[in-house]
Amino acid sequence: MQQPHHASDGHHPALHRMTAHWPARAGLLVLTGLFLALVAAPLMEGGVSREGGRLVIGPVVAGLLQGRGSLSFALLAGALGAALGAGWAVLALTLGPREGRALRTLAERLAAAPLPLVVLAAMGLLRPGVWLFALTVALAIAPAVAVAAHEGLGTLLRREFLTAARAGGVPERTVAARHLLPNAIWPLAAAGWPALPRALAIECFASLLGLGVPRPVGSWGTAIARAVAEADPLAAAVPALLLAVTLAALWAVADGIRAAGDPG
Amino acid sequence: MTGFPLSVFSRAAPSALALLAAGTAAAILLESGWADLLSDAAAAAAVTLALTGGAVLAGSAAGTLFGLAGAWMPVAGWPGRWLGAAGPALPGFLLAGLAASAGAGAPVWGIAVLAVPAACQAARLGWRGLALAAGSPGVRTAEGLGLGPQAVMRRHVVPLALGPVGAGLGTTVLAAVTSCAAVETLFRIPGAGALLVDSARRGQAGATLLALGILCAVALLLRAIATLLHGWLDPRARTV
Repeated sequence: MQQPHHASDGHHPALHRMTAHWPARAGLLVLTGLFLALVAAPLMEGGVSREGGRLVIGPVVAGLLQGRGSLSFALLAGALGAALGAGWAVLALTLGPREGRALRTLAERLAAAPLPLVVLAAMGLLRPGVWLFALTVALAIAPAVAVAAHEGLGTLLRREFLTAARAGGVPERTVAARHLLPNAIWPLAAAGWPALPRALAIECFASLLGLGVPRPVGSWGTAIARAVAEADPLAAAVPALLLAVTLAALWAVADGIRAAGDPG
Repeated sequence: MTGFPLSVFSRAAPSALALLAAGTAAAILLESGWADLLSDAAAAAAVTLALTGGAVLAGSAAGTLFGLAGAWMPVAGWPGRWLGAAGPALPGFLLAGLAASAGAGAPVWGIAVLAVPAACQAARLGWRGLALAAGSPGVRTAEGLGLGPQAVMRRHVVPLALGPVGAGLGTTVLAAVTSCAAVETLFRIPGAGALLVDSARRGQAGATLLALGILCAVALLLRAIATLLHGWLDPRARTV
């Protein structure tokens, strides 16, 4: 008798495919290093000093401290956007074919629109706080997540092992718990992870234009905006470099997760 | 022959016109000096269309050449491979911030800043497309039938490799239209992106919604042109 496609059958090869993807490995290393540097930033030698009773923060430490705001925000808005997008995709798949197609078409149309500009408009007109800003950014990234999650989950639902399990008389609840949900992790992760770099980019974009996170929350975008106002390219270099490296690392991990979820 | 362009524009035009009409209605209802605002916005739309369209075309053309060279020439093609790999790290707004902080104020820098991400995307897709096309069955058949390497490259590999570049043009357009808000604001170019940011900062709802409608319509129009280009580069993409 053929064994059912169990979660444990699929995860080790997927993890292997991800770790075999060298840009993803490098991206994970960079993100780990960045996280440790953010935690240790205030303790860095020469990073913070006192001159005439005034606290002076070095440019690298300042860049890392500003990154705390940007990365925390990206994590919050990205997780929210990924959850909204995944929920949207699941809803489109569980509703009838007509309603599902309408939801999918709506997600595709919105994903093809310049939604970060809607975030700018909303920030200017509504002047929301951090939480509402996070919700606006999450709503802007949710359609792209929904399109990707719908595609990934749709492919999974058409896999032979699910048909075989149903044909073998396995109850629908068991099919969902033992076969569907464990195998849905990688498609959902592949669809949801890009929400993080997208949220980070939108936050820094809005903050650069003075329509992002309100003060005193630090942001790489705000730091670059200050450098532009002071015409100081050296002050812009550290936050710009940190932002560029973080975006590259996040997208590299996204590529790795996509490769992990693609057995073909 | 005209079925595909007509189909593309007939799908994009109603949405673009509806967005423009909604923006105009918002400006008339919410702004007192709406007549001047509308004439300024029309000029701003033309500036944004020229800026983003020009940057996407120039950047994509240059990036495609670099990307194809990167895949074709293992040693001399390194700029194409580097350009393709650097794409995710170089969003247009970041380059705009760096260039503006260095004092680059001329509008030509704005075009260059918008063209670099487009070039990165095209280089990455062209490089991957050529690598995939080189091993495709059609190319192998042509080689097996004794066609010379130059002819195989020109007639079979390059046309196949351009398909993915064309498919990526829509995403490139979207990124360019979004980044133009930063470029126009930081380089003081009087386009719809600068109008959006300025009016949003001042809290002027009518002008903000008008600028947003214009930018969305510009994105729709440029995406329609990108779809046409994709269909021209890869006839398989022409679905009427």
